[in-house]
Amino acid sequence: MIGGMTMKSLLTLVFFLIPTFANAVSVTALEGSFKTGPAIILLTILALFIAVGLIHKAENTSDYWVAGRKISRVGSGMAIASNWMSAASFLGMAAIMYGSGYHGLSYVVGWTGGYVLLLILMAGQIRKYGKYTAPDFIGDRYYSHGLRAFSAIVAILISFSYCVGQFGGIGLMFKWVLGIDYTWAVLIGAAVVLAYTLISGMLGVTKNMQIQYIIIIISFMIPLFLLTFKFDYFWLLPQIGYGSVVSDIVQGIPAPNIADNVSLLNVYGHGFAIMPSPEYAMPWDAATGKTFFQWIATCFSLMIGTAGLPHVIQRFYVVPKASDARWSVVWGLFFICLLYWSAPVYSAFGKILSSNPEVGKLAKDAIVVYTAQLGDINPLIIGFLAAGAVSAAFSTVSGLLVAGASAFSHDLYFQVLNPKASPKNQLQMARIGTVIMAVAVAVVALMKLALIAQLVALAFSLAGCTIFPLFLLGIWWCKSNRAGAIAGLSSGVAVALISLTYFIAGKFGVTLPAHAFISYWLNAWYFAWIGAPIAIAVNIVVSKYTAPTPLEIKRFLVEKVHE
Amino acid sequence: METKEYRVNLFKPKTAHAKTISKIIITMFMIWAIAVFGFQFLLKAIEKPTKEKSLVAFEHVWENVAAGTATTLEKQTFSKTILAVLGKAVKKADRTILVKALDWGVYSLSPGLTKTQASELLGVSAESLEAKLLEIELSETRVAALDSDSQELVPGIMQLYLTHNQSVLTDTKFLGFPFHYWYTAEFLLILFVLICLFYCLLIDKIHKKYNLVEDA
Repeated sequence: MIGGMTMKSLLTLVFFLIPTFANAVSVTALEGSFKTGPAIILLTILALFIAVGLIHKAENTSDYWVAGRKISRVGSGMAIASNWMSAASFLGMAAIMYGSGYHGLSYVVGWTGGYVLLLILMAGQIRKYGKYTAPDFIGDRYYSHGLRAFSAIVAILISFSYCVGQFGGIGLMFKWVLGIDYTWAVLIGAAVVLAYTLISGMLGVTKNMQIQYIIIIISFMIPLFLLTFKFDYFWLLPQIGYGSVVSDIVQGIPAPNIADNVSLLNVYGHGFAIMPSPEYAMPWDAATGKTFFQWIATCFSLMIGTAGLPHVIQRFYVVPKASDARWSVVWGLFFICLLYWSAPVYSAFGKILSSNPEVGKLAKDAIVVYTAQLGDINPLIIGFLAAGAVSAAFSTVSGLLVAGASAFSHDLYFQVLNPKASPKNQLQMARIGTVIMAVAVAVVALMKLALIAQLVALAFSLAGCTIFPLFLLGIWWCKSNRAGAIAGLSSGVAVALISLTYFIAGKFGVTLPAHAFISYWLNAWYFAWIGAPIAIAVNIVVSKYTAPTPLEIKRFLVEKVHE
Repeated sequence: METKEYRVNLFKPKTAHAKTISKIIITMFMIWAIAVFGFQFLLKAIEKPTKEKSLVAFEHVWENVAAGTATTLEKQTFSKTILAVLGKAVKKADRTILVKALDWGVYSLSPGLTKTQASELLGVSAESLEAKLLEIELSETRVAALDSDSQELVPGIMQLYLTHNQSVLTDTKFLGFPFHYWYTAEFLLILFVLICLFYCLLIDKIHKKYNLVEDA
């Protein structure tokens, strides 16, 4: 699944380039300085991505959108995982757990549990339906160009808000590695990811995603073994070994006698100690400011959002058969879980290693890298970790840009505005769409609106109350018709608009009526908990009292999708 | 009549094949929903607000501290319980109140104390986090008395940070984890993979049974 050239590049990286960094300067400052070794690792990996993109260049629209349907089950699973494991997974999850304890697990469960819904309710059927993009499916199933255009706009917005969080992650890591300003870091990262998405399209992106997965998972795992080994926990399987770390946080660890135990120190020479902190692990602890309702609402919204994300759904079009689509979910979820079992380890160690008041306040979104630094892990390994974070963000951004560009070029331009457009013309429009989106995302990312995971959660809620109900009912209830879909989508969008209006107003210091009430119950991170049920209910009621679904759609559903 | 022939409804399947698929999907969905949300509701149902030792100690001395009749030992206990909270991630506004309370607690023991002497007086070792906290948080301001804000707010702040939702599920250990944490962070993910695996195996088996070939 990884081309010979690519494997050769990886081996070159491992055997020839890394030893040249051996004399890299030790990392003593958490921020601010240019880090030579990590910078070279990061730049080498980015060069590798572009080289792979060039080798597997898209030659026609089919290649650009669905990789020519040539991807294997395991390869597709790896690409699903890589596409999925964004900066939110790599950096954001640990950040949420570090700051909000058990509440952070709602993200872990929400972002994995959604795949069960996606598989049992949709994956195979989506592939059997045989369309290119999510708006394509919606326009066709609900026989409406208007809905196709509207859902294309929604798909672009979802991809857009998802991308904002990723660009934030890229900015943080470039800032950390290169020691440059956050603004420049975001702009440089945006330029690089845009370059190779434009050059390669999804075929190159899919190949890149497989390599990126390997880089992401290896870079994420190595520091965990080192941290558990160094601090004397069960290191052979850090994902189990950190259980005792969590219990130690709950009970507290008294400061070690430094003279007796020199190894149990962080990079600053502080003892491996923490005051009793049950709020880290106890459910919906008041000290974290999070409630039971928020746990459930966040988890549920992320789950249904997973099953409604256009760029995730789109991945099922790249496999040859429906059974491949199903099995690629199993592989994808397994590969994803490898990282999701591991992310809490960083937050747990980060909690202890940063507990000394002299460490000061840390940027939560970079806690993964800070934890490795505080644990005095070799700077080159930390550099590789940062490169893994950038890979995670890049792999997702590239998929999102392709999904957004597809919605723009295929669903808006070709299907609605200019049906006579040639394939060459469509590809050109896809590329223009990619550029516009990347530039706009970079501008919004510079505003630093929220934590990475929260920005991404917004995209999930939007998908959960717009795209998810249309797919769910479109596949499983043939009576869901155009009028029902329009009404359902409109109500989902209305809920989203209310939530986002309050969120944006709050960011600019404006207080609207019932602000606290709406901000809690219709929060931007989890408004789908109510938005999705409303959209589904409205779709059902309106469908029951309006003109039925045309016979040919029902026949297609029965004969092609469900048989 | 024709429309009935082409009916698709997850809950009202028509053919034997559709009925089997529907049964599998609903069963898998129920397992998924109960495992995820059922467990959290159970956790919520049986939880009990549990006080940390520091809160118990604080509540024991607070009445005398507030009344201004606390003994030296009570003031020491009071200061140490405040430190226990300052060692956590505390909101800025709460921290400000607690630092004032700490200043009063420590300097009321002896107004001329240095920070090192304060550590010794409170009985905390030089290497401990409490000593570091004292060094960073203790200001040079000698607070003569706890003001009315502190009198009013400190008990609530202490309760907020030192009370936790605990139950047999949080207190039981499994593989070193508090059980509920292991269940949510590890087991649920394993379960998700297993559900997906079994679903694919079952669907493949059913398609074989009904001789269904999925087109490319």
